[in-house]
Amino acid sequence: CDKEFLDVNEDPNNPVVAPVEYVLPAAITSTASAVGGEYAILGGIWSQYYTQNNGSSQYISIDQFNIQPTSFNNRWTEQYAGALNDYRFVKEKAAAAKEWNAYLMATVMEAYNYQVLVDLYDRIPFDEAGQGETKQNLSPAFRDGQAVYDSLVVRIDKALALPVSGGVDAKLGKGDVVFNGDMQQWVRFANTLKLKIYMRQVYARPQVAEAGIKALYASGAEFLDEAADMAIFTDATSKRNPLYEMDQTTALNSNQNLKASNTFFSFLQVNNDPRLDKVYLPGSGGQKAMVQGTSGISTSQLVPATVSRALILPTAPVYFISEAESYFLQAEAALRGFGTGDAAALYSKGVDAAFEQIGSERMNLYPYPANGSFEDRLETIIVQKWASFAGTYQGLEAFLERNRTGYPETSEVAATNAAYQPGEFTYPVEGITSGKLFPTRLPWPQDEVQRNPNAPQTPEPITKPVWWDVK
Amino acid sequence: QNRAVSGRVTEAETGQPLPGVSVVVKGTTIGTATDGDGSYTINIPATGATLQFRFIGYASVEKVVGEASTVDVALGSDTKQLQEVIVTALGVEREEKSLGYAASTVQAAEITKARASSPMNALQGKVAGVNISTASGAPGASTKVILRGYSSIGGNNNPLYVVDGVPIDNGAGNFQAGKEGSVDRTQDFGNRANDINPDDIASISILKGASATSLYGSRAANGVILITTKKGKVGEKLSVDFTTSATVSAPAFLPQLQNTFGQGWSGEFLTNENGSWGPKLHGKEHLWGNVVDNSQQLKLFKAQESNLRDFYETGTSFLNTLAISGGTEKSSYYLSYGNATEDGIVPTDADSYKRNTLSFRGSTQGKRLSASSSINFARKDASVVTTGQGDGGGATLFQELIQIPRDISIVDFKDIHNKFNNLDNFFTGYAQNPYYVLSANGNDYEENRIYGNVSINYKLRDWLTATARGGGDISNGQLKDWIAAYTLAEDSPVLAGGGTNSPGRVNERTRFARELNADFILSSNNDLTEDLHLNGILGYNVNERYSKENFAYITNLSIPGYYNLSNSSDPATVSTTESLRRLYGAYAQAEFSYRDYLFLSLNARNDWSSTLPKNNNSFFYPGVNTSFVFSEVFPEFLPSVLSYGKLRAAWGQTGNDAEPYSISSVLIPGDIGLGFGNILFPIDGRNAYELDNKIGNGLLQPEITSEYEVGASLSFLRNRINVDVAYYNRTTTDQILEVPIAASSGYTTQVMNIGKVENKGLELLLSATPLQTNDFRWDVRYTFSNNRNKVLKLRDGLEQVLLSDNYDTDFVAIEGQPLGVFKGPGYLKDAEGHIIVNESTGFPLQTTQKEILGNAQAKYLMGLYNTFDYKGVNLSVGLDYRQGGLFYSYTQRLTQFVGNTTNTLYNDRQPFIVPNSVVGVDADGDGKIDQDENGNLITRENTTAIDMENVANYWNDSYNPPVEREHLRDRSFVKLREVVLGYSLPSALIAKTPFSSVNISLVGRNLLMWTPENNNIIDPESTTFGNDLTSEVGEFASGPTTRSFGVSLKVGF
Repeated sequence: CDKEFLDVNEDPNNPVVAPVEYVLPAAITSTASAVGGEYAILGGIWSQYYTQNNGSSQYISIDQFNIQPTSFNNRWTEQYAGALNDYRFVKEKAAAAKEWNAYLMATVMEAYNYQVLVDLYDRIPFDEAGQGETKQNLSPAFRDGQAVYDSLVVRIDKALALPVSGGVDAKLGKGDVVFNGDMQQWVRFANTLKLKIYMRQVYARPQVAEAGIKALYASGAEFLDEAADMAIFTDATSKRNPLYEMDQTTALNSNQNLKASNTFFSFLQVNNDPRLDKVYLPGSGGQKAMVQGTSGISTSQLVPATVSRALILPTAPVYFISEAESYFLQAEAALRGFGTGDAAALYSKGVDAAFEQIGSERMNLYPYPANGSFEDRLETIIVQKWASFAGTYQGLEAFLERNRTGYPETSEVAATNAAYQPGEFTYPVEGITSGKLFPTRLPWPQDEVQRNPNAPQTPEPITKPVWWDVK
Repeated sequence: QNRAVSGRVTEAETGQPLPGVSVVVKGTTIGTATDGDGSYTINIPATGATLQFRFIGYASVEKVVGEASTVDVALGSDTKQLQEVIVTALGVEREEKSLGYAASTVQAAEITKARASSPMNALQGKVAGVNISTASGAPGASTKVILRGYSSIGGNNNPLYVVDGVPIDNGAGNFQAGKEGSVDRTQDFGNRANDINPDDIASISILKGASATSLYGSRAANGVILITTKKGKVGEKLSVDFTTSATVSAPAFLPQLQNTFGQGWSGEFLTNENGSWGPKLHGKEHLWGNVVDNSQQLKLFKAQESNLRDFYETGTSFLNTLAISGGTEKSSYYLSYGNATEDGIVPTDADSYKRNTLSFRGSTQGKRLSASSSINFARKDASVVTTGQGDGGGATLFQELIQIPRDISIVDFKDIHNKFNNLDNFFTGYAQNPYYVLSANGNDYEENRIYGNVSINYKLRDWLTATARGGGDISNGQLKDWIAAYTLAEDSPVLAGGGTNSPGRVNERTRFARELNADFILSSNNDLTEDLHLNGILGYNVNERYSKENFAYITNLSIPGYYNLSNSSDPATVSTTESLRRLYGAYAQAEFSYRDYLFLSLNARNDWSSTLPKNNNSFFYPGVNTSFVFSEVFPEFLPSVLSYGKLRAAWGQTGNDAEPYSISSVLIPGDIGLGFGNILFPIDGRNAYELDNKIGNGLLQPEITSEYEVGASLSFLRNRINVDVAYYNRTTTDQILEVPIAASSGYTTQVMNIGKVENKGLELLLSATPLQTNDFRWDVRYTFSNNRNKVLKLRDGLEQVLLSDNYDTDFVAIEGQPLGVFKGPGYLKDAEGHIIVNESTGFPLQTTQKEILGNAQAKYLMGLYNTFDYKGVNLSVGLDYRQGGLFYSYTQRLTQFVGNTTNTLYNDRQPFIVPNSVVGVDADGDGKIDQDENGNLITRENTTAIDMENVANYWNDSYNPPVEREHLRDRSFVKLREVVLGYSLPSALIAKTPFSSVNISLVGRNLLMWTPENNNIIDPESTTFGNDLTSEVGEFASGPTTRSFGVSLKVGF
C-alpha cells in the first residue's frame, strides 16, 4: 500500500522515450540555430556584409573584434547539448532498430556540426562528448581539430557503407527537415560534406586533401545538385528563420542593428550586381552603406535611418551547403586537378545557382578568367563564393573560406581612401585587436572552461589561426 | 462628591516601600503615583470606586475601596510576563521557560496595529533573526520572509506556514514571459500567505531552529511560521468587532536624477534621443520632438525636476473586518468577513488589489469528545503593472518612464491620441509613451481559495488524548495578460528611428493547487514522580500536494483590441504542467520537566517521500533541546538585580526533499533558444522533441540541515529589563542542486546532492521599560541579528554555481563566500594596481575572468520599537535598519545608460583621462601586452583621454564592460517602518453607549527612508526576482515602493 501511495514520481509532463523521427527535427534545428542564427550574425559582420548601426549597439563587440569567452556560450551549449546530444540519441536508437537511413542523416548532420566547431574553436571535445548520462563523463577530453577531421571522414564512410535505402524514406518523411526523406540527396550531402572537409585542409595537409578528394571522385561519388537546407520556416512567431527571429522581431527591441557594410556594398555597386536590392533594404534616402566598424559615429553626422540595413526574410531557408557552394567546391577540385570536370563550367554553374537562389538575374556578370593564373582563378571562385553566401545565407562559411584562402583580399588603405578597391576588406575603424589582425577563431566559451577541467585553461587570442589556416 | 483616600504600597516579599507605583481609579482617568516612601493620596468618587495599582515587574492589584479612607497594598512579583505562552510545533502551547530554543510569539494587537494588508509585513523589524521584505510598492505584492538566512542554494528557502496546525500553500504568484527566473515581463500577484486577513489572526509564532521544527521533518528546514487564528470562547457572550481603516500612499523613494544636462547624445541636442546626454540645460525655448503635419513643439530647455513624481498619483487602501464571536456553555463560534481594496500609485487601476475573506470557526466539547473546525474562503482580484524588461512588443512601464530625458515633462504625454504623443510620432523610437503602455497592455488575475481543517479530540484517559486532524487548501488562480498589437505607419519617424511593430499577444494561465494533510496524534500528560513530569506525543502524518498549470498563448492578433485565444491565424501554443508529491511521516516527542526549572525535550520524525528514489526514500530527523531556569534553583546566589535567568541549548535536524520528477531524464518539446527569441515546434506540420538538458539522478537524497543553538534569557530589575540572546549554527549538507555541467557532456545540468552551506549568527532581543510614571509609560524593544552565511563546499572541480545573471553581472555561489556573490568584468591592472586602458580609445581593458564585486549579505539587521502610553493615548514608532550588502539595480543601469543618473555628471562630462590609468606596452607586436621577468605586465603612462563623443559610452557597459559595477548599489537602509498614534476611549466615557471599546488610530507605514549616498536610485528592498534566493539579486525596473498613512477605527460591541 505504501509503495503504491508513494509511487507517483513518473513525470506526467514529458516523455521518457520518443521515436527518432521526432528527435531529428529538433537536432537539425539546433544546428540551424547556430549557422543560421548567432553565427550568421558573426559571419555576416566578419565577412563584411554587415556592420553595426551607429544608433544602437547590439553587435558592437562582434564588429570591434571584442569577443569575450562569454559571448558564444549559448551557441556552444546549443550545439553540444542541443544538436550533438540529440544526434547521438538518434544514432543509438537507429542502430538498435537498424534504421540506417536515420543513422546516415544523424551522422552527416553530426559531422557537419562538428566541422563548424573545429573551424571556430580548433580543439574541441569529440569522442568523449555526449557521455554525461551514459558514462557519467562530465569532463570530456579536448581533441585536436585535425584528429576530429579524420574521424569525421571515417564516421561518414561507415554510415555510407551501411544498407541505406534508395528513394524516399516515408517513415522519416516529415522528420527529415532537409530532404523530406530523399535518401539519394542525403548520400550526395554526405559526399559534398566530405569534399568540403578535405578541401579545408588543402593548405595544411595537401597530400591528405588531394588523396581524399581523388578517392572520392574515383568512387563515383555524386555531389549535391540542390541545396542541403532547412526550408520549413513559416512567418509566425518562433517558427521563422532564426536570423529573422532573433534580429528582426520584437525579441530584440530594435531591428536596426545590422547595416550595409561598405565592403560588400561597394563590390555589388561597382559590378552593377542586382543582388544589392536583395541583400539590403534601402534607407530613407535610398541605398547607402557605412564603413565597417564605425558605429561610434554620432547620429547627427550619420543619421541612422539613411543607411541601408540588412534585408532578412522570415521564411528564408537556413543553408547547410547550398547548390552554388557544391559547384564552387567542385570547381576548385577541378582547378586543383583533384577532381574531374571543367572548372570554368562548374564555376559558372555555381554563379548561376547563386543568382537563382537569391532570385536575381545574373546577366553576364563575373566571367571566369580562363587565362588567369591559378591564384586569379581561385580568387574568382572564392570571391563569388563569398558573394553567394551574402546576406542571410552562410556568412560563417564565407568567413572560414576567407581564412583558408585569403580571399577577398584585405585593402591596404582605408575605405574612405580614393585608392580603395571595392570589395576589399577593411579593418573595422573601431577594431580593438592589436596589430590590426582579423579574428580567425572564437575563444573557448567560459561555461565550458569553467565547468570542464579538461578544457584548455589558457585562452588563445582570437587572432590565432586554427590548425588548417596556414595560407 | 469626592473624597480623599491615602495609603502605602510595599513590596510583598521584602516589605520595602515601592515608589512610582501607578494608582488609578478604575474606569476613569483619575490617577496618581506613589512617592519616595511608597505613599499616595488620591481623590475618589464617593461610592463604588476601585483602585488599580500597577508597577512594572509586579502583578497588578485591584482593591475595592468601599468605606475605607486608607488602602495599603503589597505588590508581588509578576511571573506571568515570563511565562509567556508560545505556540510550538503541532500547535502545542508551552510556557516560554520550558523551551530549549529561541521562539517568539507576536500577538494580534501588534499585527494589525499599522493596518498592513499582509500579516507578515506587520512583523518587519520586530523579531530578531527574521528578515521580512516586500517585493515592491504595488498593492498585493509578495512578502518574503527568511529565517536565519539562506541555506539552500537551489531549493526552497521559505519557511513552512502552518495555520491552526495545518500546513498551507505559500506558493508565489509570480509570472514572467520568459523561463523561470527571467526578467521578461514579470508580474507579481503576491504569495499565498498574504491571503490571510490580518484581523483574523490571534497570534503568530516563529520557530527558527531545527530543534524547534524537526517534528515537521522534510518541510521544516527553513523554519516554521505558526499562525493561530481568532476563535470564540466557550461561555462568553456574543461580541462584535468592527475594524476599518483608510490609508493613502505615495512613492517612498524615486530615483534622484541629474538636472544639469538635457535631451541628446554625445553632447549634442538630438530630438529623437531617449537620453540626457545632450547640452547643458540653458532654460531657453527650443523646438523639439518630431515634425508632424509640418509643425513641431516648443518648450523650455530646462530640467523637469519632478517629472517622475508628477507621474504618480495617490494610492488608496481600505481594510474592513467585521467579526462576530461568542460561545455557549459547550461551544464557541467565530465568524468574520474582511475586505481589502487597494489602488496603487500608478495612474489608472492597472495596479489594483481586492481581497475578500470569509472565515468561520466553531468548536464544541463534550465530556470526552471535542471537535473544532475552521473554514476560510479568500477571493483575490488583482491587476499589476508589469515589471522587468519588455518582451514581444509589450513594453514595461517603469522601463519606459526612467529613460525619458530630464527636460521632458512626462504628464504632458497623458493624451496618447495627441498627434505628437501617439505611437507613430512619439519623440523617440527607443521608448514608448508610458501612458500608452499603461492603457494598451494589461492583465487581470482572479484567485479563489478555500482552506481549513477539522479536528477531533477524544480523551481516552485523564492523561491521554487522541486527536485526528485533517486539513485542506485548494486554490485556483486565473491570469489573463495581454499586449496590444499595432503597426506603425510607413512614414512614421518612430519606425525610421528604430521602433518596431507589435504583433500583440494574449496569455491565459490557470493554476490549480491542492494540498491535503492529515495527522493522527496521541498525546499524554503524566506526573512520573512528584517532581518529574512527562508530556508525550506520538503522531502520524500524511500529506499530498498537487498542482496543475494550463498555459496557452497566441501572438499576431487579427482584430486589434480583442483579447481572446481565438484571435490569431497562428495556432495557440499550449502547455500543461502537473506536479504531484506525497509524503508520510511518523513522529514522536517526549518532554520532561523537573520541578518546573529543568526541561528536556526529545523529538524525532521519520519521513517517506514520493520525490526520492523508491528504495531510498526514508529519512530520519531527530532533535533535542533543554532549558534550565537557574534563577528558580539558587536565587540566593544571584545578584539581586537579576530577577530571572534561563539557559538553553538545542540540536536538531530537518530536511528539504527533492522536487518531483528529479530522478529520471526526459525528452521535452523542441524549443531551440536563439539568444534572443526561440524556434518552437511544431513548425510546418512537424512536431519535435529533444533530450532535456538535465540529467536525472536516481541516487538523490534529501538535503539535511543540522543546527545547534545555545541561548539565555535574563531579566533584571524586577523584569524591567529583559534580554534574550541566541547563538546558532546551521549547516545544510547534501544540497539538492541542479548543477551546471559542461555542455560537451551533452547536458547542461545534473541534479545532485552536493555542497554545504553554513549559517551562523547571533540574535539579540532587548526589551525594557525605561520610564514609568503614573500617567506615562515608555517601552522599548530592540532586536539585532547578524547572520553569517558561507558556502563551505560545492563539488570538486565546480568553481561556482550561477544563480542568476543580468547583463554582465553574475550572481553566484562560490566556495568560501557568502551564498550570493556578485561577479562582473574586472579592470585589467598592472602590478601597481593601475587600470590599463586601450591606447587608442582610452577605455579600460577588462580581465578575461570576472572578478568578485561584493555580496548581497547584510552585516546586521536591527529593529527598534518604541511605545509610549499616556492616559490612553498610545504612540508607537518602529525603525528597521539594515547594514551592508549590495544589490543589482537595472533602474540604475538604464538611467545611467541614458545619462539621467547623478554619477554621469562626473567631470562635468568633459573629456577625461581615466584616473590612475596606464597603457600596455607591446614592443614585440604579438598582440599581447609584454611581461617583465616576473610575469608582470609592462605599462607606461596613459595620455589618451575619453573624448567628448565617448563620455556617454564610458558609462555604457557595452563599450566599457567594467563600468558594469556601477549597477551594484549599497543595500543598507534605515526605514521608519511604522508610526501609530492611537487613542482608546476611556470606558467611563463609552459606558452609556452600545460600544464596549473604541480605538481610533492614525497610522503610517514606511514614512521615511534613509539610504547611503551610494544609492539614490531605488528602495534597496525592491525585487523582481521572485521570493527566494535569487530575489537577493536586486531589481529589474521594479518601480518605486510606497509610504502610506491613514486612519483606523476599531469598535467592539
